[in-house]
Amino acid sequence: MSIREEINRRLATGALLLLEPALVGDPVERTMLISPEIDRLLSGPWDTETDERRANRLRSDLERFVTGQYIGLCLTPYEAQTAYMGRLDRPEDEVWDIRSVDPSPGLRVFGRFAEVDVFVALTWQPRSKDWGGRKALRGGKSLEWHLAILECHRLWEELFSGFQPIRGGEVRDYVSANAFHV
Amino acid sequence: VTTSQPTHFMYEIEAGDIPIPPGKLAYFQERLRNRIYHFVLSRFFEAERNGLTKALLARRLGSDPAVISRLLGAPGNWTLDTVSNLLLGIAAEELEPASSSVLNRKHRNFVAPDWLRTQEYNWIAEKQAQPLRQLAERGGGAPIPGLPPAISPAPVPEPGVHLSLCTGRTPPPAQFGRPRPSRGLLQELLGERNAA
Repeated sequence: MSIREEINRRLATGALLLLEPALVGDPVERTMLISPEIDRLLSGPWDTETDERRANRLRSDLERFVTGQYIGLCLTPYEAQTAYMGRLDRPEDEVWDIRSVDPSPGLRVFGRFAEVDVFVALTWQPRSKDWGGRKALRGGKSLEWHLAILECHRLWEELFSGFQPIRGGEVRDYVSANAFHV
Repeated sequence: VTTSQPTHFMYEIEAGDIPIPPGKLAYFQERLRNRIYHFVLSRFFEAERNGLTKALLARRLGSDPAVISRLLGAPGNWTLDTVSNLLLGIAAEELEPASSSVLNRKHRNFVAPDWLRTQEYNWIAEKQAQPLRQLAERGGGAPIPGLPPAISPAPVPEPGVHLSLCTGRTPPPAQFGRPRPSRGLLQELLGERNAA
């Protein structure tokens, strides 16, 4: 059994979903698989119009990955700054976050690379303030960050027990084109 | 792999006479920002291959190199002025106003790697179709063009079953927050991890 077969099994059961661009005809250059909880965030229903707007901006930001737009990757924890994706502490755990920074609250989507250009997005959390029923991550070394990373581990294990995410030391080990190091 | 893409995201936009939901307005706002960022960045990398550096660009624009690095790092705070400055400084170009319809776009052929069997079940398409299907049912069952055939619903889960992500085609609960393991359990795991 390969991780590809495992992914297909999870797609078939609805435990993972393929994030497709909302607009017909947009290019698809990379693959993002999302968990049902991220789908719930993107698809609603939401409590308020503000929440709806925020979630849809996140969707647009996630589609940057799928449509092959330029993205900045930071492989060093705590130094991501303007990067679209950052590898989190500890690097050997290979947990990454996608950073949707605007408007407040910034949102972080946690996941791991199953293959080059294939990202599995598993969970999410607001960055600066509590939102959507979830606690804010706040500072980079807060307990909430550790818990979010652990949760990402747990969800990966539920889906892909025995399979490791890809590991690398350079941007191209994760994303093959239109990506740069931050 | 060839699959059909959901067209329902465009429903209100296509209708022409009903309000466009704020979320969709926000989606397109962010999309525009991201696309312009991608465009300017592609021009920058092209110019970089011909010798342009961030330091030179900063000098040309009378800006601090750190500011240029930040601007090129993410589209967060861009304004129309930012776009104008960057394009002028990078490539001696200006943005040419043009627009195109977001409706009636050609379907693409490639949606996923060959090994990904996406055509078996398009959950997102099904979810997006649900409100329209309910609308059609309320209106006496008149068909809505473009609506995919209904997929047999999964069995209604027992309370709590949806807590596991791996229980098959269980529809996710219609709530914004998520069920999570208790904070205590995660803290316990965190302690084990740190001890290891």
